[in-house]
Amino acid sequence: MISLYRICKFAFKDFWRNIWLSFVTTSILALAFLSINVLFVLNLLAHNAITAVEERVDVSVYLVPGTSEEVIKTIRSYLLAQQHVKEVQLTSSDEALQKFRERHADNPAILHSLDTLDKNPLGPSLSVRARAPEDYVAIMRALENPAFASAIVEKNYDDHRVVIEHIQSIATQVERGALAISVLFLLIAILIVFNSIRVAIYTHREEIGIMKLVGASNFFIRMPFVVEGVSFCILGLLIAAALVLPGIRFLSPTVMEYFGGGGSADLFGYYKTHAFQIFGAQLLGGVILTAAASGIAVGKYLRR
Amino acid sequence: MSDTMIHFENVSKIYPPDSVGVRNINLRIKPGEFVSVIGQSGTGKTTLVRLLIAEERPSHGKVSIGGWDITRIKDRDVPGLRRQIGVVFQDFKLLPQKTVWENAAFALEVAGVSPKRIQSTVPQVLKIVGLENKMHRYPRQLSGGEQQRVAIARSLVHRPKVLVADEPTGNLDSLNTREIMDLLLKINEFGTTVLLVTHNREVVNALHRRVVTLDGGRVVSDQEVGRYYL
Repeated sequence: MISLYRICKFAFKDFWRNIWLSFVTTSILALAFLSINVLFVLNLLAHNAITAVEERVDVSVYLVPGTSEEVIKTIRSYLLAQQHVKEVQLTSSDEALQKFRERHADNPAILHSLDTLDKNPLGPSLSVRARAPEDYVAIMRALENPAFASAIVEKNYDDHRVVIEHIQSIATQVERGALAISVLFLLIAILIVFNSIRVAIYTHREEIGIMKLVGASNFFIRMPFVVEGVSFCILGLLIAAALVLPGIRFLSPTVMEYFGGGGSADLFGYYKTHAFQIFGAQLLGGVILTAAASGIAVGKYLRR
Repeated sequence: MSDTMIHFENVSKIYPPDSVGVRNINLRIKPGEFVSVIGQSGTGKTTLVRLLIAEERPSHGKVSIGGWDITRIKDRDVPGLRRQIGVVFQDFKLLPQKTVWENAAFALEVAGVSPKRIQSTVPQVLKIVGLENKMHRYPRQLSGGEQQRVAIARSLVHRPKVLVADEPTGNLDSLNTREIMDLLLKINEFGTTVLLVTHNREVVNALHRRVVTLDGGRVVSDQEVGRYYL
């Protein structure tokens, strides 16, 4: 316990003694963490875009007007039994007519034509949603079932695959780019921490020599520098968090409006609920890397 | 208790490719002895010190201290060894930003000693070296002799069995030299084995103690009550 206290005391003394070096190192680490968070947000937005498009995709199955409730129920059950189907929504003939009227409310000619008909010309329809975009092909195939051929007038699928694939490709590239840039930034940050600790050690070489001479253990000599490296990391992350959180809070309403709200479109809410995981993972990764860099940097001076 | 405190058995230290530090050194020093190791520059005196504090490993032979074979000492055991051997150097090796008290306490702090023990030990050693009234001064506010006394105080805080003094008077005038030698004799009287490495003729001749003479890395003379004759 006493040793731990002294290790921290030596570490923080050194932090202040080389305050400019500490400031520069902490700033670089803060920038690295900031870039990681920006890239993380971009990745999150790309995934949001995909989800938003995916949610607008469905297969519409138009049934013959006057199809019996029983047949509709059978087709619906058949579709729900498919493993790729997420949900099936029924629009009855009356609902279809009402929607049609609403859609063409400003077109008296169409409304007049409808009035001249003695019965509802529109049949019921089913809107089928798949679990994943690539499942629509299988659903279309399932609808080829001859048992339902006489009841189905038309089935169409707005092929959003190209759009989805495009967004997915962008998202993957963003993800890869984010990963590569984050790794690059982290490597630069680690190199800077490594160098800062080396400079700190250089200014302390006399003290280290005396520590060894009077019987300090290698652990005791090494640890203050490791603690110093870890403090750079923690401070850097705190600064990054202090910049990221208000930024996200500011952006969040715009993003929510754009994507229609909910889920991870509420960036600030997402950060608040996942703060422990997001910053915890960065802290853990940063601490491990800076501790290792500091430990290696001081290693050279620990030889007899 | 063993009758040997320091034992070099056929010890050689060769620095690659073929530079000789010391060669075939056989030396046995009893507990409580005061031994001066003399010789001109480059004769292996400092190599002996470095072997004793495990800064170097011998190329051949065996080194032991108080019966502890340190020839192939493990890295993790080196701090324990250094707490049993006090070492002082010509350049004092004090930390300029620390006071006399802090410099002496530093050796205990880095060893994880409790504040209570530090509070009781440091004044004792500062009293032994006669600096109890200057414990809050910084090294720059002290004379060379006083700085060396701080270094000696720091080397004594672990109550070492052996005190190795490598040219402790090299930077001092004759008055301060006499003071430091008196102090080393006083420490020796307390029972600490003292190994003095020097090339100061007057110091050695005034001591009337055992003198080991090195030349070309070998022991060329070992006299119970010796003189500097090189």
